[in-house]
Amino acid sequence: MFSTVNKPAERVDAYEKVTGRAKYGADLQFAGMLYGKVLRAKHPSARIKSINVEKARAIPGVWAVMTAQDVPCNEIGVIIQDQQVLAKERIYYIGDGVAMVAAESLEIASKALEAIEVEYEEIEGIFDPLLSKNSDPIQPERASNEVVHHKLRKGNVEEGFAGSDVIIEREYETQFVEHSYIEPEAVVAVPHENGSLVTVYGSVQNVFATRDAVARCLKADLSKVRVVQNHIGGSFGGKDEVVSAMACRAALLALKTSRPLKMVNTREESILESYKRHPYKMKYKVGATKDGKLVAMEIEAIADGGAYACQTPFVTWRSVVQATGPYEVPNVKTDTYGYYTNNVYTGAMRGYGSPQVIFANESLMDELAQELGITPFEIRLKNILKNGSVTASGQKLDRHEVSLAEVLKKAAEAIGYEEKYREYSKPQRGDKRRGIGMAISFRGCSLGAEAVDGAGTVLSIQKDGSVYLYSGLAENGQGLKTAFCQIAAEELGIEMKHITFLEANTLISPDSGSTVASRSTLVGGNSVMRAAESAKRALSRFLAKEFGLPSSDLVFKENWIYTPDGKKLISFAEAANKAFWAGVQLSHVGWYVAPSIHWDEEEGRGNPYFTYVYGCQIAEVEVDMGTGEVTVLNMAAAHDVGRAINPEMLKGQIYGGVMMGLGYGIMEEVETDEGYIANTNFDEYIIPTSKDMPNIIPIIVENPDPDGPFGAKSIGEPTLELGAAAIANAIAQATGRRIRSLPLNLERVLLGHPLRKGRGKK
Amino acid sequence: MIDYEFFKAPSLKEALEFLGSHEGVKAIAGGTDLLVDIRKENARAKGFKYLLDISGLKELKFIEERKDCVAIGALSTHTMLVESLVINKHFPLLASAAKTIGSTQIRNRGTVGGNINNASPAADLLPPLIALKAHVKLRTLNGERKLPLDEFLAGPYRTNRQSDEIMTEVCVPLLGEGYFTNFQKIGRRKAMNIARLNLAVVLGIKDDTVFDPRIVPGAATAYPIRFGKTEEAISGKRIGDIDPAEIGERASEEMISTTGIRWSTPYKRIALASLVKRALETIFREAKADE
Repeated sequence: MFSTVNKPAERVDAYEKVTGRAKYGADLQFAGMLYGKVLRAKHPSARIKSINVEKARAIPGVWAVMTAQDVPCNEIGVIIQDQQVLAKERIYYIGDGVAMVAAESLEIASKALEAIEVEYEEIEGIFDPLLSKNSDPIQPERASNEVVHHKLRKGNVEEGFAGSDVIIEREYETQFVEHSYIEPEAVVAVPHENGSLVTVYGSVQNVFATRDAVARCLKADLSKVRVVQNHIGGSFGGKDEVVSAMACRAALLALKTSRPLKMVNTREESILESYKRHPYKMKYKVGATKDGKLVAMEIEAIADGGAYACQTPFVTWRSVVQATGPYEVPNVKTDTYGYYTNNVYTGAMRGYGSPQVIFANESLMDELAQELGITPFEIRLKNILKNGSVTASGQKLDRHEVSLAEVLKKAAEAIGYEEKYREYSKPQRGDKRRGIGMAISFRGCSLGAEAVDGAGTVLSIQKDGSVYLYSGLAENGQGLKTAFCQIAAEELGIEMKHITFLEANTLISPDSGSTVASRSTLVGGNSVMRAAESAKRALSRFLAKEFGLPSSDLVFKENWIYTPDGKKLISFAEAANKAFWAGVQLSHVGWYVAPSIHWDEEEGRGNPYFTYVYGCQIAEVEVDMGTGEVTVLNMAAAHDVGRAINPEMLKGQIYGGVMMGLGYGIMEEVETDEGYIANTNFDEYIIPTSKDMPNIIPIIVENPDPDGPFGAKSIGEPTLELGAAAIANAIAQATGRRIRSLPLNLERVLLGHPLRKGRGKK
Repeated sequence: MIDYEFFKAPSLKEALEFLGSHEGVKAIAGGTDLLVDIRKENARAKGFKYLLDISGLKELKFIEERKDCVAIGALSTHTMLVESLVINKHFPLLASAAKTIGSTQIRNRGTVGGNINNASPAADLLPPLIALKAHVKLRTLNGERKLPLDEFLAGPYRTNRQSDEIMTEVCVPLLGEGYFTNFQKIGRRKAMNIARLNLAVVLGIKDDTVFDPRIVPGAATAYPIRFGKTEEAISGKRIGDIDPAEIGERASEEMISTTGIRWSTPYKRIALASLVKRALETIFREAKADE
């Protein structure tokens, strides 16, 4: 059916990466390049009484020392512009930059930082969003500490609970986690290159967001700032605002010194400064009939936004839409809130407001099933969304296949769920006990009602028949370049090896918004198709005329072009050559805007996303009852992706997502103590290793979506959001004890509650 | 940033000369602990002027069976312990312990001498070596002394090594007839692990009766020591009369009587009891199978 898509094509960037040829931000060198370093705060909440930089300036080899006073516009942010490029009068969190230097070497830059004298006056900080709610505003210019409040309303929950046979109420809590990209943030700013004011190269997830921040900071036209993405060593949502701030700082120093300037975070600086996944405190109340049908759900989720708004407004919005889980519930009342605190700020991280609520709603389903005396499998089958169901937000699902039953059954079958569930439900003796647990989800694809959802790709056929393309969306390791090349190759009927994907560059690429929300294959892939269709149309029209054909409806396949009745007409390369010399336009822009959606923020309902993906993960664990150690033995992961553009890369997403979910579930936690961060490197911030990897059974389910390129939807985030919930349910079965806060580490599993070390102050 | 000068010793003699004539020298072999401390500017790594690289001293890299002991050169790596036939034959718990250290890369670089001299409370080799009654040999330009490992250790991250001494080898006396050994460890993940708790148990069993028991938990006290009261509780007892669970609890009590109640005590109290119970059960099972 297909020649290139739906096949395991080799990654187009694999060879350069494995041979070490790929250049990352920190690899770049420019003549006369200086090194930048940032002095960070000593306290999480303080007033800056004075900064004296004279001694630092006097050090030989120091070219510039800058503070907030030297920043034309000091407040940046994608949604709310409250993030300080450098702290002006107030320190809001421990990662705030206070001053920065440009020097001829890193050593000199470090010495210069030590010579900067800062006098602080500590201010009592707020580190708990629940306290923040009722406290005076941390940022004096704001009316309160509330970043945002979203609501969702359906039916009438009071009546729903009144008509319920069983009601349970539970509270759940999640932790701060770090993205743990292998490459810490790195940029190089080059002043006055090729007509632009400044060019920033580096480890940038979203070139346009970073460009917008730098232009705003410098008070420059957007068209004067060029941001070019390099190979990136992972991002997972993490190289947005924190890299934008770094890019602003590097650009300021580069322009001040008229020299290229490199800035690279150490791992410690990265963990101190970069935003984290939001910790949530959640209250769930659910009512059901005695035969297990959900009647009402009332949910309140409070997110710790940390020092800056960052992505909190949209992260909590995804939570409000998806908080019930993928179930038919006639009466729903959900409120999500974000509050400022003096903790490290929180923002986008793979999942984006879903892993927290899924941990809660999927734990809740198991708890309710237990209350009702039915199995976790039964309660889900009874209540899941189906074709034609109406979601909590009031959206009727009738444009695509609602495949929850399919993913649930396929995952259950692959791992032998029912048999193992029965087996592990029997009384277990001995120290090693087993359990099996599941979690399912629906996830709105792409941005939804957060923002305009358009993307563009430029595709240019060369006179030898080779093709290059570039887009405003960026390769963040997920395989975008390969997927886009596959889509272009399929559409043009040529081999992938003739196609080159260029990097994202804001002075060339069409502004396509951010590479986030698992939207690239879906929205960007459609723009690739449109560009290719447009190029094909131009070629076809030219060829029809050239060969005197009655129709320009030609068939492109296997590097050749055929007439509709199957006659071989001309090779693609020859056609391109002829067309070029005949003056035919061979460079085409494809633009795609997602189908319309709407959200009524006042009423708390709407059609927030134009399509959804569905997934199920089932974890089988062994728990050591004497030590609290958890071993995840097997993990089945079934995901409906619409269409797999590249099944092997898709499996890679599943393996990686499962492992990130495992880390979130049983070991990862950024330990904060009154705003100080205790574990700032990977010796103490524990992430899973290959030895912790379970046997993962990836199951690709394909129900093509009418709006996806070749039917494709999303996979990046769905793979991550389910693991912690599934593992928590498995642990509960094994131990007979429900733990409602993450991570399920040694102490929580053995004791049922966490132990706090009470350290971290420096 | 810590400033220091770096020297590389071409021979043991020259290393000893350097140590004897300079103040503020730190020796580095694998560097798997020291480099981390230097990067972190840990107080333990401060206040030195010279880093003396002894990693090239091949004469300190050996594992050798002698008449009544096995001598392990201080620069032997963890990987050498894991792979050594001599170690696996005489002291399988030492190979087991070495196998749990860090990752392949760390085991290839990290040394036995480094693990001992860093003297971390969570060091994985200390409990088994103490339980095996190992001695360490320390050399200066003018002489050599030998002392039991438990006397060499002076506290958490502290030893009785003098500034002009280099540890050359560790001597582990051969166990006689009827000895059994076991090593246990808990970590937060399956590799790249610093022990949350570890445990070495060495004991003899003759006629179903325990003799010469040695029980050494790690990461349980300020630095690994033998748990004498727990040992006493099983010494001379018939294994059928010993309840491993009860001995486990006794070990936890001994831990708490040494350290007092700390933030981690609620966890370690239960977990150490489990490890001790497990080690004893495993040994008793092996003893029965041997009959």
